[in-house]
Amino acid sequence: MIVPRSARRVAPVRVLFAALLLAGIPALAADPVKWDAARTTAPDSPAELKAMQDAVHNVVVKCTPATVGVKLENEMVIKGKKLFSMAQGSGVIVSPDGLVLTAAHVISPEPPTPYKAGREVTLIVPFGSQVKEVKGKTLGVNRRMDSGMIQITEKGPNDGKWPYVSVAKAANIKKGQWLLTLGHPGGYEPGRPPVARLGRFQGLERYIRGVEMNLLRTDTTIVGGDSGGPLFDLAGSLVGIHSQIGPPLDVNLHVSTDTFKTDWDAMLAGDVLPYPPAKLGIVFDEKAKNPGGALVEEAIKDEPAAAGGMKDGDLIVKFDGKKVASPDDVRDILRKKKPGDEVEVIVKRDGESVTLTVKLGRK
Amino acid sequence: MTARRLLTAAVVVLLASAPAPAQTVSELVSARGKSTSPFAPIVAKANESTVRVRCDDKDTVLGTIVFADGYILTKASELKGRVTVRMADGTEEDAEIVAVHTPTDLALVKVAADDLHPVSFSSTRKVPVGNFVAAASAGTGPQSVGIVSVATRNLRGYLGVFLARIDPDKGGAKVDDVAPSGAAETAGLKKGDVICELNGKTITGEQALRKLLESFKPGDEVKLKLQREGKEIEKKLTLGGPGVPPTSGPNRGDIQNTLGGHRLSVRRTGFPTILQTDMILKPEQCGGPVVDLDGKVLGVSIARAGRVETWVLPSETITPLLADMKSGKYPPISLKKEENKADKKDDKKEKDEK
Repeated sequence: MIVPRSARRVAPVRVLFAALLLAGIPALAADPVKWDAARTTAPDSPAELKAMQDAVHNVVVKCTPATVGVKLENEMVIKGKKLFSMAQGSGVIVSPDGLVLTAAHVISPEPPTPYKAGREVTLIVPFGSQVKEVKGKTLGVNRRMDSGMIQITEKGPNDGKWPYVSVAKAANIKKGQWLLTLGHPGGYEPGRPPVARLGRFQGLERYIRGVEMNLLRTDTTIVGGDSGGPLFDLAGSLVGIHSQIGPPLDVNLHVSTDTFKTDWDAMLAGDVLPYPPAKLGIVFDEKAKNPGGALVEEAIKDEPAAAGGMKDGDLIVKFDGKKVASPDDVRDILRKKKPGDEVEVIVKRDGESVTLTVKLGRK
Repeated sequence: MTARRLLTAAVVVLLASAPAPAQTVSELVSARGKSTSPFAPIVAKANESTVRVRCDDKDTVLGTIVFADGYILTKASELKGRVTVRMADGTEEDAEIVAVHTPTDLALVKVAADDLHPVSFSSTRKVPVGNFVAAASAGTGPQSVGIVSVATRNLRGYLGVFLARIDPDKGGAKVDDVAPSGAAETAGLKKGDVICELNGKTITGEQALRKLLESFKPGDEVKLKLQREGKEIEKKLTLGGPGVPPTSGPNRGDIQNTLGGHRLSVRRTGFPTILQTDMILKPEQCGGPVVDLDGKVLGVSIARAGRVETWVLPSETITPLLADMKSGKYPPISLKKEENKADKKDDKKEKDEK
């Protein structure tokens, strides 16, 4: 694969730098150079290298205490025999009461094998100057996006509280931005603290094998055992959770923190996402021009919308409390709902506003 | 009967082809010879001490000049056949293997020269995780750059057991689980065994056992006394190490570590102490000096150990060996002996397994 190289050429300055080093001239700048975590270019001077090194070092110090190992015993039945396997991965603490973000595949099996929150896990955590094993229980997962949550069920080292990292908006990351990975490659190894790797944001991988996953791609190398571990920007904020790798050393894929944020409350509640699709039972008029809402061509008999009182010809103007201007607007909201949810729908019918309650069905 | 297998949770492997990446970390290195790399001046001095070691006319590994009168350190396990060294000026010199130190996999070779530029080693004791490192090259610019992933640590010998957190009332360390293909499983340890003695020392608890193990290396033989169902049992075992290939078949770790065909160093385990970095070096690019941002030599790159790691033998492990290596204390015959020893160990294992 040909990697496009930068066309920028810089005049050779090697001799000058060597002369400066030999002369022992101290740093020229009055203020020490500070590394801007949002910067997307490479450092190009000894001062910038030192600034970046300081930034990396600070992230390591700040974020290592919140980086954990995760151990989970899985039970499988193969040919009538019970087999146990121990899955090992990583995670990161994001709240003082011990909420941990990790990867779905660390704590839950692949669908269609069922998963229910509340499984016991063991976390390997830095505890003062030692390393301890503590208990936790799994919360919700999004098995399509590979995100998951765990709640530590023991008290932390800081007056009962846990060291934690802040969760940033991953959408703001730009190509070339420098990022730091921590985790336990190969599984937790006694005597080896979380392993640091430096790299850059390479882009978004929207689809993996045809499934929309929106993973971040970096060249911080990760490998089995790192799953669920944290990816940070150089300000020390969490931007990703390790998920997959490709054969090339620079294909390392991480679940974006934005994915976690979208599903946050649902995962805290222990939900298994993605929800099965919710059904309305409406045929929309897609051709209507500027209807000012989502025009219902047919509210199918015995389906959820009709059961809630919707009639053919209704114009949906508000759906689940949000204004809608088209069938697509309704679908966008519907995607985030689950079967059984009750939604309030306001329609215009014969010049009047009618409020309906529709209990969503299952596709 | 339950069979237990240890799986390291896969980072799930994506086997579809990936789109071409934009700038990568290696852009920072750029091709050797491009002086645009900010690391070029940083490695310039160490590059003068870096040579190419060739075996039977093939570039095999790099070497680090340690004495001006022609002595060069390199990776012992890579040497075979006729060894020569390509110097900075392009000339090729015959090399004589003067010493081989198996635990560190270092060889000292000698060429006819008396004005070489040896490296000056600096301790890694205060080098923290996150600091930049750069591997010198036998040309201009760095061979690779990266950061310190794990600060210098002693590699402990592994029993391959999961120990219970709560110690038995009578003392000892209780085995909660036995890691498959580990030293303990090979020796026949079982869940529930209580380890009460290691090499004659009484084990008071799990923490005590861990502390005691710190002084052992992968490959060390130890004698254990166990309590099992009221009986005392003695076991002898050879400690394993991180990355040590299991005794039975490849594990998922190996598969992921070489995913994409990226080769690892053949000898990549059994070192006493290493500085772990995330530099990307091929096995044939190991053996040269590794420097920090000030150009100080922190050690010699000794192995491409996995997808995420290149290991460096730190200065403080190397310097105590140099005089002895030069004076003949580690004759190179041990290179041949190790091969025979490995064969003997396999025979012994077949006898011990019940």
